[in-house]
Amino acid sequence: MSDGEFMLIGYLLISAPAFVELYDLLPEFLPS
Amino acid sequence: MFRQVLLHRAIGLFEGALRAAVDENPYSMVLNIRGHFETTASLGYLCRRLQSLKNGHITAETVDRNLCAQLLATRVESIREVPEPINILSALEHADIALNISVLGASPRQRDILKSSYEYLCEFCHPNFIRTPLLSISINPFQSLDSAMDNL
Repeated sequence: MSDGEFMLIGYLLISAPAFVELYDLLPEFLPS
Repeated sequence: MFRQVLLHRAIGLFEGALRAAVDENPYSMVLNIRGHFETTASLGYLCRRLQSLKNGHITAETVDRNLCAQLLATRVESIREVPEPINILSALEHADIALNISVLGASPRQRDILKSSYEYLCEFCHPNFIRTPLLSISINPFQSLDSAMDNL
């Protein structure tokens, strides 16, 4: 795998877990 | 429902990025990943606004207006009476604050992981990025990307 490919996958691995964390977090802020 | 729409988009972009990697297509890959960051920013912005509502810093009407902007906003002039879109860098800032406070346990502006990554990633998305290596697509486009990175 090339350096460029590694770099781009690295960025994907920043955004994807952040999305999951925020996705799980959101219901905590919704009014019950 | 908006959360589900964003999830659908995030999954599609994630899979698109991986498919592009398999196809050795860095152009498609980088655009998919940038789109994923924008989706994360949108969700983070919503989280942050709801967080502010819960803390009593803004009203429910403000959140309603912000959500309408996220769902309906456009800059297309022919479509009238729609809200102004939320600036993507501003949404990324909100998302970073939400992550800092609620996930990383840090101070609100301690890290700007999403925004700084997005800004760097954007450099690879435009046709004028280190023109020659990327425009002369070689046998392996990633080799072009690597040589472009070496020239930074």
